[in-house]
Amino acid sequence: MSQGKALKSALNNRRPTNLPYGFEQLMMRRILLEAERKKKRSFVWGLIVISFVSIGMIAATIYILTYYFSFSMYLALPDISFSSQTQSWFVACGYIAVLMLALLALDGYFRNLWQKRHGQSS
Amino acid sequence: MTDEADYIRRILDGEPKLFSFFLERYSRPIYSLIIQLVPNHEDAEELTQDTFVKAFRKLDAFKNDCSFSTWLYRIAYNTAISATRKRRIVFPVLDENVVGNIPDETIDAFFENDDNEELLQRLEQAIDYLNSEEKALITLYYMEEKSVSDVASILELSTDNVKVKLFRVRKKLYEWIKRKDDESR
Repeated sequence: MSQGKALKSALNNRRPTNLPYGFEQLMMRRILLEAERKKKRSFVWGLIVISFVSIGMIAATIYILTYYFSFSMYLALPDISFSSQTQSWFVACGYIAVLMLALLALDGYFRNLWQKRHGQSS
Repeated sequence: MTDEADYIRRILDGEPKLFSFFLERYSRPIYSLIIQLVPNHEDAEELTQDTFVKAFRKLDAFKNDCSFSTWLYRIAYNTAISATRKRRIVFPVLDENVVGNIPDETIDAFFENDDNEELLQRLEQAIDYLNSEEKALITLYYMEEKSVSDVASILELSTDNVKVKLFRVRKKLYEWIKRKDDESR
């Protein structure tokens, strides 16, 4: 096929092909906003999916226990009575659980911080 | 292009800033294609932006069955086509026999001459009357110097179809210019 020099010149003359100054910076801002939106969207979707799956699993468990195994919560659980020793154990366990949660939260926070700094430097 | 695949992987892994690599590389060629298909500069700029935003959104859907540039051009073409769909320009009806009877050599010689200013002006006017697909064909093939197979992939046509259409567009333009010449005499 021919080179079509005249066609190439006509196409070039027909419309200027230069983008305005700052186009790429403007575009990059839009892309970063879009990235943020995408991140939020995927987080929300993840949350929705997890919630639905959890609710579904709980509902399925209750349904199976109630209708297939004729399970009754009132009959199955013995009368609960707390002695003073048991109560102190409960307090200790609660303290450990809160401590664990706080440590996990701190771990998550520092991981995030490290990832942000690492991302910026690369 | 390995570096492009690497950039895509990293963007998907959470480094959106790296998308500037694609902006630097492709914003001008994408804009050059779109500006040929839409009537004004503002629309072209906006559609170029839309093209890149769409590409970013769908980046995870990009399969390596074609090059990134082909994929991006396809998005740009479809975006521009959707925008121009309402505004249809009808090319003046040409006699199929006349178009078919022009020898290829005559047309080849005609389009090789880029020194004649008057011819170039006529050609610019004639291009306005082409439909969007035809404009995209000649822009990609002659201006962006894409191969026939790349053009086929972007416009989702077969390579034979692209070759035939390119010949037909050239003949159409030739016939339109000749007709205008006859009218002005």
